Amino acid sequence: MKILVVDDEVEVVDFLCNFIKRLGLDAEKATSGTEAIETFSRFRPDWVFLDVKMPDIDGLEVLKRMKEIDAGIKSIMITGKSDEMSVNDALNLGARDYLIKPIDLDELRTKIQTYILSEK
Amino acid sequence: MQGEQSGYRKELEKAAKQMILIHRVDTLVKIILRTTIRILRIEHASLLLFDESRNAYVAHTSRGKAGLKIPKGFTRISKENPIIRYFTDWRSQVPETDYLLLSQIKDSLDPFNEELKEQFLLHNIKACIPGFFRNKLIFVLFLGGKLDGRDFTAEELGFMSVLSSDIVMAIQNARLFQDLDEQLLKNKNLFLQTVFALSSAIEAKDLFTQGHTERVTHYSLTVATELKAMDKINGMDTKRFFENLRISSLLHDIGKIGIPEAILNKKDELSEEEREQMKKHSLIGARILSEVDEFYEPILGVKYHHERYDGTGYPDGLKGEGIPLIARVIAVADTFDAMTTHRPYRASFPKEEAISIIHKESGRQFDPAIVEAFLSACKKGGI
Repeated sequence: MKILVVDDEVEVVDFLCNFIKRLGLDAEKATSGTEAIETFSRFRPDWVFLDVKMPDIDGLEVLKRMKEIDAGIKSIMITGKSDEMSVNDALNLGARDYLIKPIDLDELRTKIQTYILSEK
Repeated sequence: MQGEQSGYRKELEKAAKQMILIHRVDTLVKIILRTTIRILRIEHASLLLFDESRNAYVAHTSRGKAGLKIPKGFTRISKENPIIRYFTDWRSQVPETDYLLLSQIKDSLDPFNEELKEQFLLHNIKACIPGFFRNKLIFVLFLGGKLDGRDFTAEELGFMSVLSSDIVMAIQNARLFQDLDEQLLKNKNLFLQTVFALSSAIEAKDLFTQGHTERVTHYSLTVATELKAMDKINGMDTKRFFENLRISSLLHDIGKIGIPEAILNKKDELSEEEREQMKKHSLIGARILSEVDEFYEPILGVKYHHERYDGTGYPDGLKGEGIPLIARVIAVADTFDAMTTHRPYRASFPKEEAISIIHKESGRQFDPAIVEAFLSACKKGGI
Protein backbone atom coordinates (compact mmCIF):
# COMPACT_ATOMS: atom_id res chain seq x y z
CA MET A 1 0.00 0.00 0.00
CA LYS A 2 1.54 3.29 -1.13
CA ILE A 3 0.71 6.69 0.26
CA LEU A 4 1.62 10.14 -1.01
CA VAL A 5 1.74 12.93 1.58
CA VAL A 6 1.34 16.50 0.31
CA ASP A 7 1.76 19.65 2.40
CA ASP A 8 3.69 22.86 1.75
CA GLU A 9 5.23 22.64 5.23
CA VAL A 10 8.30 20.41 5.12
CA GLU A 11 8.06 19.58 8.83
CA VAL A 12 4.51 18.33 8.37
CA VAL A 13 5.26 16.00 5.44
CA ASP A 14 8.35 14.66 7.21
CA PHE A 15 6.37 13.97 10.35
CA LEU A 16 3.42 12.39 8.52
CA CYS A 17 5.61 10.21 6.28
CA ASN A 18 7.50 9.01 9.33
CA PHE A 19 4.24 8.29 11.15
CA ILE A 20 2.83 6.33 8.21
CA LYS A 21 6.04 4.35 7.73
CA ARG A 22 5.98 3.38 11.39
CA LEU A 23 2.58 1.81 10.71
CA GLY A 24 4.23 -0.36 8.07
CA LEU A 25 3.15 1.51 4.95
CA ASP A 26 5.15 2.93 2.07
CA ALA A 27 5.10 6.75 1.91
CA GLU A 28 6.44 9.49 -0.34
CA LYS A 29 6.28 13.23 0.14
CA ALA A 30 5.66 16.34 -1.91
CA THR A 31 5.82 19.92 -0.67
CA SER A 32 3.92 21.75 -3.40
CA GLY A 33 0.97 21.16 -5.72
CA THR A 34 3.23 20.94 -8.75
CA GLU A 35 5.58 18.46 -7.09
CA ALA A 36 2.55 16.46 -5.90
CA ILE A 37 1.23 15.94 -9.43
CA GLU A 38 4.69 14.97 -10.73
CA THR A 39 5.27 12.51 -7.88
CA PHE A 40 1.77 11.17 -8.30
CA SER A 41 2.40 10.15 -11.92
CA ARG A 42 5.64 8.42 -11.02
CA PHE A 43 4.82 6.92 -7.59
CA ARG A 44 1.24 5.90 -8.40
CA PRO A 45 0.04 5.85 -4.78
CA ASP A 46 -3.11 4.11 -3.57
CA TRP A 47 -3.90 6.94 -1.17
CA VAL A 48 -3.09 10.63 -0.93
CA PHE A 49 -2.99 12.81 2.18
CA LEU A 50 -3.55 16.24 0.76
CA ASP A 51 -3.23 19.69 2.36
CA VAL A 52 -6.06 21.96 1.19
CA LYS A 53 -4.14 25.24 1.42
CA MET A 54 -0.98 25.47 -0.64
CA PRO A 55 0.58 28.54 -2.24
CA ASP A 56 1.08 27.30 -5.81
CA ILE A 57 -1.88 25.03 -6.62
CA ASP A 58 -4.48 24.44 -3.90
CA GLY A 59 -5.39 20.95 -2.72
CA LEU A 60 -8.75 20.89 -4.53
CA GLU A 61 -7.14 21.60 -7.89
CA VAL A 62 -4.42 19.04 -7.18
CA LEU A 63 -7.10 16.45 -6.40
CA LYS A 64 -8.90 17.27 -9.68
CA ARG A 65 -5.72 16.81 -11.70
CA MET A 66 -4.89 13.55 -9.93
CA LYS A 67 -8.38 12.30 -10.78
CA GLU A 68 -7.65 12.99 -14.45
CA ILE A 69 -4.58 10.74 -14.20
CA ASP A 70 -6.19 8.07 -12.03
CA ALA A 71 -9.97 8.27 -11.55
CA GLY A 72 -9.81 5.79 -8.68
CA ILE A 73 -7.46 7.75 -6.43
CA LYS A 74 -8.51 7.85 -2.79
CA SER A 75 -7.69 10.82 -0.62
CA ILE A 76 -7.88 12.27 2.86
CA MET A 77 -7.77 16.05 3.04
CA ILE A 78 -5.84 17.96 5.72
CA THR A 79 -7.17 21.35 6.60
CA GLY A 80 -7.20 24.19 9.10
CA LYS A 81 -10.46 25.03 10.85
CA SER A 82 -10.97 28.05 8.63
CA ASP A 83 -11.28 26.02 5.41
CA GLU A 84 -14.44 24.09 6.24
CA MET A 85 -15.98 25.23 2.96
CA SER A 86 -13.13 23.68 1.01
CA VAL A 87 -13.63 20.44 2.91
CA ASN A 88 -17.15 20.18 1.55
CA ASP A 89 -15.88 20.90 -1.94
CA ALA A 90 -13.24 18.19 -1.51
CA LEU A 91 -15.80 15.65 -0.32
CA ASN A 92 -17.95 16.54 -3.32
CA LEU A 93 -14.92 15.93 -5.51
CA GLY A 94 -14.68 12.43 -4.07
CA ALA A 95 -12.26 12.81 -1.14
CA ARG A 96 -12.97 10.03 1.40
CA ASP A 97 -12.44 11.98 4.60
CA TYR A 98 -10.64 14.90 6.16
CA LEU A 99 -8.53 15.84 9.19
CA ILE A 100 -8.65 19.25 10.86
CA LYS A 101 -5.42 20.71 12.25
CA PRO A 102 -4.35 20.43 15.00
CA ILE A 103 -5.00 16.73 14.54
CA ASP A 104 -5.22 14.03 17.18
CA LEU A 105 -2.77 11.25 16.32
CA ASP A 106 -5.27 8.70 17.67
CA GLU A 107 -7.76 9.93 15.12
CA LEU A 108 -5.16 9.84 12.36
CA ARG A 109 -4.19 6.27 13.22
CA THR A 110 -7.84 5.20 13.36
CA LYS A 111 -8.47 6.66 9.91
CA ILE A 112 -5.41 4.92 8.49
CA GLN A 113 -6.53 1.65 10.07
CA THR A 114 -10.14 2.02 8.93
CA TYR A 115 -9.50 3.08 5.38
CA ILE A 116 -6.07 1.87 4.41
CA LEU A 117 -4.88 -1.04 6.55
CA SER A 118 -8.27 -2.75 6.23
CA GLU A 119 -7.80 -2.81 2.44
CA LYS A 120 -4.58 -4.75 2.66
CA MET B 1 30.61 11.60 37.88
CA GLN B 2 31.17 14.65 40.05
CA GLY B 3 32.13 16.64 36.97
CA GLU B 4 29.04 15.59 35.09
CA GLN B 5 26.82 16.60 37.97
CA SER B 6 28.25 20.08 38.31
CA GLY B 7 28.01 20.41 34.51
CA TYR B 8 24.27 19.81 34.71
CA ARG B 9 23.89 22.29 37.52
CA LYS B 10 25.75 24.93 35.52
CA GLU B 11 23.64 24.31 32.41
CA LEU B 12 20.50 24.55 34.51
CA GLU B 13 21.52 27.79 36.12
CA LYS B 14 22.42 29.23 32.73
CA ALA B 15 19.10 28.14 31.27
CA ALA B 16 17.14 29.48 34.24
CA LYS B 17 18.80 32.88 33.94
CA GLN B 18 17.99 33.06 30.24
CA MET B 19 14.38 32.07 30.90
CA ILE B 20 13.73 34.90 33.32
CA LEU B 21 15.06 37.48 30.88
CA ILE B 22 12.84 36.43 27.98
CA HIS B 23 9.42 38.04 27.96
CA ARG B 24 7.93 36.31 24.94
CA VAL B 25 6.47 32.85 25.48
CA ASP B 26 7.36 31.64 21.96
CA THR B 27 11.01 32.63 22.13
CA LEU B 28 11.27 31.26 25.62
CA VAL B 29 9.91 27.82 24.76
CA LYS B 30 12.30 27.56 21.81
CA ILE B 31 15.27 28.24 24.09
CA ILE B 32 14.03 25.74 26.65
CA LEU B 33 13.67 22.98 24.06
CA ARG B 34 17.03 23.69 22.49
CA THR B 35 18.67 23.50 25.91
CA THR B 36 16.79 20.34 26.83
CA ILE B 37 17.85 18.55 23.65
CA ARG B 38 21.45 19.56 24.12
CA ILE B 39 21.63 18.54 27.77
CA LEU B 40 19.73 15.26 27.51
CA ARG B 41 21.07 14.37 24.04
CA ILE B 42 17.68 13.23 22.79
CA GLU B 43 16.18 12.85 19.32
CA HIS B 44 13.38 15.37 19.72
CA ALA B 45 11.37 17.39 22.22
CA SER B 46 7.92 18.97 21.82
CA LEU B 47 5.99 21.19 24.18
CA LEU B 48 2.22 20.83 24.09
CA LEU B 49 0.67 23.88 25.70
CA PHE B 50 -2.90 23.98 26.96
CA ASP B 51 -5.02 26.01 24.56
CA GLU B 52 -8.18 27.38 26.22
CA SER B 53 -10.00 28.00 22.94
CA ARG B 54 -9.45 24.43 21.75
CA ASN B 55 -9.74 22.88 25.21
CA ALA B 56 -6.77 20.69 24.33
CA TYR B 57 -2.98 20.52 24.55
CA VAL B 58 -1.59 21.74 21.22
CA ALA B 59 1.94 21.23 19.86
CA HIS B 60 3.44 24.65 20.48
CA THR B 61 7.11 24.30 19.65
CA SER B 62 9.42 21.43 18.90
CA ARG B 63 13.07 20.82 18.25
CA GLY B 64 15.01 17.82 17.03
CA LYS B 65 15.22 15.41 14.12
CA ALA B 66 13.08 16.00 11.05
CA GLY B 67 10.22 13.54 10.91
CA LEU B 68 10.28 12.96 14.66
CA LYS B 69 9.59 16.40 16.08
CA ILE B 70 5.93 17.41 16.01
CA PRO B 71 5.32 20.37 13.68
CA LYS B 72 4.06 23.51 15.44
CA GLY B 73 0.27 23.55 15.62
CA PHE B 74 -0.03 20.23 13.80
CA THR B 75 -1.18 17.92 16.58
CA ARG B 76 -3.22 18.11 19.75
CA ILE B 77 -4.08 15.76 22.58
CA SER B 78 -7.37 16.00 24.41
CA LYS B 79 -7.86 16.24 28.17
CA GLU B 80 -9.06 12.64 28.04
CA ASN B 81 -5.77 11.39 26.63
CA PRO B 82 -4.31 8.76 29.02
CA ILE B 83 -1.12 10.80 29.42
CA ILE B 84 -3.10 13.82 30.61
CA ARG B 85 -5.30 11.64 32.79
CA TYR B 86 -2.23 10.05 34.35
CA PHE B 87 -1.10 13.46 35.59
CA THR B 88 -4.45 15.03 36.43
CA ASP B 89 -6.79 12.26 37.47
CA TRP B 90 -6.67 11.82 41.23
CA ARG B 91 -8.74 8.69 41.02
CA SER B 92 -5.86 6.89 39.39
CA GLN B 93 -4.07 7.52 42.71
CA VAL B 94 -0.83 8.38 41.05
CA PRO B 95 1.61 9.99 43.43
CA GLU B 96 2.86 13.43 42.42
CA THR B 97 5.56 13.00 39.86
CA ASP B 98 7.98 15.21 37.96
CA TYR B 99 8.18 12.92 34.94
CA LEU B 100 6.86 9.72 33.48
CA LEU B 101 9.14 7.35 31.60
CA LEU B 102 8.05 4.68 29.14
CA SER B 103 10.31 2.30 31.03
CA GLN B 104 8.38 3.03 34.25
CA ILE B 105 5.07 1.84 32.85
CA LYS B 106 4.79 -1.71 34.05
CA ASP B 107 3.36 -4.51 32.01
CA SER B 108 0.18 -5.38 33.74
CA LEU B 109 -3.36 -6.42 33.15
CA ASP B 110 -4.47 -2.89 33.92
CA PRO B 111 -5.85 -1.62 30.60
CA PHE B 112 -4.92 1.94 31.57
CA ASN B 113 -1.23 1.06 31.60
CA GLU B 114 -1.60 -0.42 28.14
CA GLU B 115 -3.34 2.72 26.86
CA LEU B 116 -0.61 4.86 28.39
CA LYS B 117 2.12 2.81 26.76
CA GLU B 118 0.33 3.02 23.43
CA GLN B 119 0.31 6.82 23.61
CA PHE B 120 4.08 6.84 24.19
CA LEU B 121 4.55 4.65 21.12
CA LEU B 122 2.08 6.65 19.05
CA HIS B 123 3.97 9.88 19.75
CA ASN B 124 7.33 8.14 19.54
CA ILE B 125 8.46 9.39 22.96
CA LYS B 126 10.37 7.93 25.86
CA ALA B 127 9.55 10.46 28.58
CA CYS B 128 6.91 13.00 29.43
CA ILE B 129 7.21 15.94 31.83
CA PRO B 130 4.10 17.66 33.20
CA GLY B 131 3.93 21.36 33.99
CA PHE B 132 1.57 22.39 36.78
CA PHE B 133 0.64 25.90 37.80
CA ARG B 134 -1.70 26.14 40.82
CA ASN B 135 -2.87 22.55 40.36
CA LYS B 136 -3.61 23.14 36.70
CA LEU B 137 -1.70 21.18 34.09
CA ILE B 138 -0.61 23.94 31.70
CA PHE B 139 1.67 21.85 29.48
CA VAL B 140 3.19 18.47 28.83
CA LEU B 141 6.70 18.14 27.44
CA PHE B 142 7.27 15.15 25.17
CA LEU B 143 10.84 13.83 25.00
CA GLY B 144 12.15 11.40 22.42
CA GLY B 145 14.72 8.71 23.14
CA LYS B 146 18.41 9.34 23.69
CA LEU B 147 20.60 9.53 20.60
CA ASP B 148 22.78 6.68 21.89
CA GLY B 149 19.70 4.57 22.65
CA ARG B 150 20.58 4.24 26.36
CA ASP B 151 18.30 4.82 29.34
CA PHE B 152 18.28 8.18 31.10
CA THR B 153 20.86 8.49 33.88
CA ALA B 154 20.05 9.57 37.42
CA GLU B 155 21.50 13.02 36.70
CA GLU B 156 19.34 13.37 33.61
CA LEU B 157 16.25 12.42 35.59
CA GLY B 158 17.27 15.00 38.19
CA PHE B 159 17.50 17.58 35.43
CA MET B 160 13.97 16.69 34.27
CA SER B 161 12.61 17.23 37.79
CA VAL B 162 13.92 20.76 37.97
CA LEU B 163 13.14 21.55 34.34
CA SER B 164 9.38 21.40 34.79
CA SER B 165 9.10 23.98 37.57
CA ASP B 166 11.53 26.25 35.75
CA ILE B 167 9.47 26.15 32.56
CA VAL B 168 6.24 26.80 34.47
CA MET B 169 7.77 29.80 36.19
CA ALA B 170 9.22 31.14 32.97
CA ILE B 171 5.97 30.73 31.04
CA GLN B 172 3.94 32.41 33.77
CA ASN B 173 6.49 35.20 33.92
CA ALA B 174 6.39 35.73 30.16
CA ARG B 175 2.59 35.62 30.16
CA LEU B 176 2.50 38.24 32.88
CA PHE B 177 4.62 40.55 30.74
CA GLN B 178 2.45 39.90 27.70
CA ASP B 179 -0.66 40.70 29.74
CA LEU B 180 0.97 43.89 30.99
CA ASP B 181 1.78 44.95 27.42
CA GLU B 182 -1.80 44.28 26.38
CA GLN B 183 -3.13 46.22 29.36
CA LEU B 184 -0.85 49.12 28.52
CA LEU B 185 -2.11 49.21 24.95
CA LYS B 186 -5.71 49.10 26.18
CA ASN B 187 -5.11 52.04 28.52
CA LYS B 188 -3.47 54.00 25.76
CA ASN B 189 -6.42 53.41 23.44
CA LEU B 190 -8.83 54.43 26.18
CA PHE B 191 -6.83 57.63 26.69
CA LEU B 192 -6.87 58.48 22.98
CA GLN B 193 -10.59 57.78 22.72
CA THR B 194 -11.16 60.15 25.64
CA VAL B 195 -9.15 62.81 23.82
CA PHE B 196 -11.36 62.34 20.75
CA ALA B 197 -14.49 62.60 22.88
CA LEU B 198 -13.25 65.84 24.46
CA SER B 199 -12.27 67.17 21.07
CA SER B 200 -15.71 66.53 19.60
CA ALA B 201 -17.31 68.28 22.59
CA ILE B 202 -16.04 71.65 21.40
CA GLU B 203 -17.05 70.98 17.79
CA ALA B 204 -20.59 70.31 18.98
CA LYS B 205 -20.75 73.78 20.51
CA ASP B 206 -18.82 75.87 18.01
CA LEU B 207 -20.71 75.58 14.71
CA PHE B 208 -18.12 77.47 12.65
CA THR B 209 -15.19 75.29 13.49
CA GLN B 210 -16.59 71.91 12.54
CA GLY B 211 -13.82 69.84 11.02
CA HIS B 212 -11.33 72.49 12.14
CA THR B 213 -9.58 70.45 14.84
CA GLU B 214 -9.23 67.44 12.56
CA ARG B 215 -7.66 69.56 9.81
CA VAL B 216 -5.36 71.39 12.24
CA THR B 217 -4.20 68.02 13.59
CA HIS B 218 -3.45 66.85 10.06
CA TYR B 219 -1.52 70.05 9.21
CA SER B 220 0.42 69.98 12.50
CA LEU B 221 1.53 66.39 12.03
CA THR B 222 2.44 67.01 8.38
CA VAL B 223 4.55 70.05 9.31
CA ALA B 224 6.19 68.10 12.16
CA THR B 225 7.08 65.28 9.74
CA GLU B 226 8.90 67.87 7.61
CA LEU B 227 10.60 69.32 10.69
CA LYS B 228 11.84 65.85 11.57
CA ALA B 229 13.15 65.31 8.03
CA MET B 230 14.97 68.68 8.32
CA ASP B 231 16.44 67.46 11.62
CA LYS B 232 14.81 70.33 13.51
CA ILE B 233 13.24 68.29 16.33
CA ASN B 234 16.21 68.08 18.63
CA GLY B 235 16.70 67.10 22.22
CA MET B 236 13.42 65.24 22.64
CA ASP B 237 11.84 61.87 22.12
CA THR B 238 10.43 62.23 18.60
CA LYS B 239 7.76 59.57 19.02
CA ARG B 240 6.48 61.22 22.17
CA PHE B 241 6.59 64.63 20.53
CA PHE B 242 4.32 63.40 17.73
CA GLU B 243 1.93 61.80 20.23
CA ASN B 244 1.75 65.00 22.28
CA LEU B 245 1.38 67.16 19.18
CA ARG B 246 -1.53 65.03 18.01
CA ILE B 247 -3.29 65.30 21.38
CA SER B 248 -2.53 69.00 21.70
CA SER B 249 -3.82 69.74 18.17
CA LEU B 250 -7.02 67.81 18.83
CA LEU B 251 -7.58 69.79 22.01
CA HIS B 252 -6.10 73.20 21.13
CA ASP B 253 -9.52 74.92 21.13
CA ILE B 254 -11.06 72.95 24.02
CA GLY B 255 -11.18 76.17 26.09
CA LYS B 256 -13.89 77.52 23.77
CA ILE B 257 -16.26 75.41 25.86
CA GLY B 258 -15.95 78.24 28.41
CA ILE B 259 -16.78 81.00 25.91
CA PRO B 260 -20.43 82.13 25.62
CA GLU B 261 -22.18 80.69 22.57
CA ALA B 262 -23.33 84.18 21.55
CA ILE B 263 -19.70 85.11 20.95
CA LEU B 264 -18.60 81.76 19.46
CA ASN B 265 -21.40 81.65 16.92
CA LYS B 266 -21.72 85.39 16.22
CA LYS B 267 -22.30 86.06 12.54
CA ASP B 268 -20.70 89.54 12.54
CA GLU B 269 -17.18 90.54 13.36
CA LEU B 270 -16.42 90.53 17.10
CA SER B 271 -16.22 93.77 19.09
CA GLU B 272 -13.02 94.62 20.95
CA GLU B 273 -14.50 93.41 24.25
CA GLU B 274 -15.73 90.18 22.68
CA ARG B 275 -12.34 89.58 21.11
CA GLU B 276 -10.70 89.95 24.53
CA GLN B 277 -13.14 87.43 25.97
CA MET B 278 -12.49 85.03 23.08
CA LYS B 279 -8.73 85.27 23.76
CA LYS B 280 -9.33 83.65 27.14
CA HIS B 281 -9.97 80.27 25.47
CA SER B 282 -6.30 79.28 25.49
CA LEU B 283 -6.01 79.77 29.27
CA ILE B 284 -9.39 78.13 29.95
CA GLY B 285 -8.28 75.15 27.84
CA ALA B 286 -5.01 74.83 29.76
CA ARG B 287 -6.94 74.96 33.05
CA ILE B 288 -9.42 72.25 31.97
CA LEU B 289 -6.63 69.90 30.92
CA SER B 290 -4.47 70.58 33.99
CA GLU B 291 -6.55 67.99 35.85
CA VAL B 292 -4.79 65.23 33.90
CA ASP B 293 -1.07 64.64 34.51
CA GLU B 294 -0.67 62.98 31.09
CA PHE B 295 -1.63 66.30 29.47
CA TYR B 296 1.41 68.18 30.77
CA GLU B 297 3.10 68.50 27.34
CA PRO B 298 -0.09 68.89 25.25
CA ILE B 299 -1.20 71.72 27.54
CA LEU B 300 1.78 73.82 26.34
CA GLY B 301 0.31 73.71 22.84
CA VAL B 302 -3.18 74.54 24.06
CA LYS B 303 -2.01 77.45 26.20
CA TYR B 304 0.47 79.03 23.80
CA HIS B 305 -0.84 78.43 20.27
CA HIS B 306 -1.74 82.14 19.99
CA GLU B 307 1.69 83.37 21.02
CA ARG B 308 3.61 85.18 18.25
CA TYR B 309 7.27 84.67 17.39
CA ASP B 310 7.89 88.44 17.74
CA GLY B 311 6.47 88.42 21.27
CA THR B 312 3.21 90.28 20.61
CA GLY B 313 0.85 87.30 21.07
CA TYR B 314 -1.18 86.06 24.04
CA PRO B 315 -1.63 85.01 26.83
CA ASP B 316 1.95 85.62 28.11
CA GLY B 317 3.66 87.47 25.26
CA LEU B 318 6.32 84.74 24.98
CA LYS B 319 8.93 85.31 22.30
CA GLY B 320 10.94 83.21 19.81
CA GLU B 321 12.25 79.89 21.15
CA GLY B 322 10.64 80.80 24.47
CA ILE B 323 7.39 79.57 22.93
CA PRO B 324 7.22 75.77 23.24
CA LEU B 325 7.85 74.03 19.90
CA ILE B 326 4.52 72.24 20.07
CA ALA B 327 2.71 75.63 20.21
CA ARG B 328 4.79 77.12 17.40
CA VAL B 329 3.73 74.23 15.13
CA ILE B 330 0.03 74.46 16.02
CA ALA B 331 0.11 78.26 15.50
CA VAL B 332 0.95 77.82 11.81
CA ALA B 333 -1.52 74.96 11.30
CA ASP B 334 -4.32 76.80 13.13
CA THR B 335 -3.86 80.09 11.27
CA PHE B 336 -3.65 78.37 7.90
CA ASP B 337 -6.91 76.50 8.48
CA ALA B 338 -8.66 79.62 9.82
CA MET B 339 -7.69 81.51 6.67
CA THR B 340 -8.70 78.81 4.23
CA THR B 341 -12.16 78.18 5.69
CA HIS B 342 -15.22 80.31 5.30
CA ARG B 343 -16.40 82.49 8.21
CA PRO B 344 -19.78 84.27 8.25
CA TYR B 345 -18.09 87.65 8.51
CA ARG B 346 -15.53 87.05 5.74
CA ALA B 347 -14.90 84.82 2.76
CA SER B 348 -12.12 82.25 2.83
CA PHE B 349 -8.72 83.05 1.31
CA PRO B 350 -7.60 81.03 -1.69
CA LYS B 351 -5.02 78.44 -0.63
CA GLU B 352 -2.16 80.11 -2.53
CA GLU B 353 -2.86 83.47 -0.87
CA ALA B 354 -3.00 81.87 2.61
CA ILE B 355 0.35 80.18 1.95
CA SER B 356 1.91 83.47 0.89
CA ILE B 357 0.58 85.21 4.04
CA ILE B 358 2.14 82.46 6.21
CA HIS B 359 5.37 82.98 4.26
CA LYS B 360 5.23 86.75 4.85
CA GLU B 361 4.67 86.24 8.59
CA SER B 362 7.86 84.19 8.92
CA GLY B 363 9.89 85.70 11.78
CA ARG B 364 6.93 87.92 12.81
CA GLN B 365 3.95 85.80 13.74
CA PHE B 366 5.68 82.47 13.10
CA ASP B 367 8.96 80.68 13.70
CA PRO B 368 10.93 80.77 10.39
CA ALA B 369 11.96 77.11 10.77
CA ILE B 370 8.32 76.03 11.04
CA VAL B 371 7.29 78.20 8.10
CA GLU B 372 10.05 76.55 6.08
CA ALA B 373 8.73 73.11 7.02
CA PHE B 374 5.20 74.23 6.21
CA LEU B 375 6.19 75.51 2.76
CA SER B 376 8.10 72.32 2.07
CA ALA B 377 5.02 70.26 3.03
CA CYS B 378 2.88 72.40 0.72
CA LYS B 379 5.31 71.83 -2.15
CA LYS B 380 5.17 68.08 -1.59
CA GLY B 381 1.37 68.17 -1.65
CA GLY B 382 0.95 67.16 2.01
CA ILE B 383 -1.03 70.35 2.68
